[in-house]
Amino acid sequence: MARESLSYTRELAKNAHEGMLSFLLQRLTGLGLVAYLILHIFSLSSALGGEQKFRDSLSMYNSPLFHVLEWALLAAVVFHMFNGLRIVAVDWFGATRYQRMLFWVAIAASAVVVLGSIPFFFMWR
Amino acid sequence: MVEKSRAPGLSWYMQRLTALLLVIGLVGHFIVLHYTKLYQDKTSLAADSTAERFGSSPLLWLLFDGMLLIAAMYHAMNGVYNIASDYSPSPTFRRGLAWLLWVVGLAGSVVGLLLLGRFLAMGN
Repeated sequence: MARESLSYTRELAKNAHEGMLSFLLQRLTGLGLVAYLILHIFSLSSALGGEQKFRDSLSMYNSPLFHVLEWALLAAVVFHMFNGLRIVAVDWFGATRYQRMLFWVAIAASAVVVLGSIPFFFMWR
Repeated sequence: MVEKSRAPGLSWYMQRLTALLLVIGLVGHFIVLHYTKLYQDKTSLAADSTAERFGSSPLLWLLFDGMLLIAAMYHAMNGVYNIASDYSPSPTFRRGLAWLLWVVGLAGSVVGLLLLGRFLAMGN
């Protein structure tokens, strides 16, 4: 696995283009989100032990550290979503010609949502 | 040896179909839980708003959250399988991994559905 990740970075350095960057970011965010999904269901399962346990476990997440992690999670979800829509557009709607431009559209759209969410995650709570 | 190219299988379509369902599901999930409810209900986080949400329209949220749960589980497990496939694993490894992913995916789905049942009860 370590050698593989090294070959990914080497590939990216040698052959830097949007397709490689898109592939790498989609894979990394995807793996992160799988790990998160499992943890998410596991942590919510405290609710099966009663409403009070659910409240206690939720209040634990109401801290500055978890707010930052939540925001990082948003970034991973939003990029994976916009870049995934680009993949569907290429596979199903014949957008292959525009795939390079669409990658930057996905990056820009992600940046707008993630930066625009700063007040929600850090200022208004 | 280079594998012969084949027409995409069912899981290829399903990965994209669940992707589109997740766009609807996760955008809704984030708007409802993170952008709206959470900020009206800062102290106890989502507990009261979850109860209130399931109390006001139980069927809608059961279907919405159930769809999100199943689509996310499928997309995640199938995604891991696809990544592993890129490394050309042996047939034994493939079979073992497929079993493991089905077990994890089904277990996660069952826990998730039990949780939705609990949220319904909290709403009553």
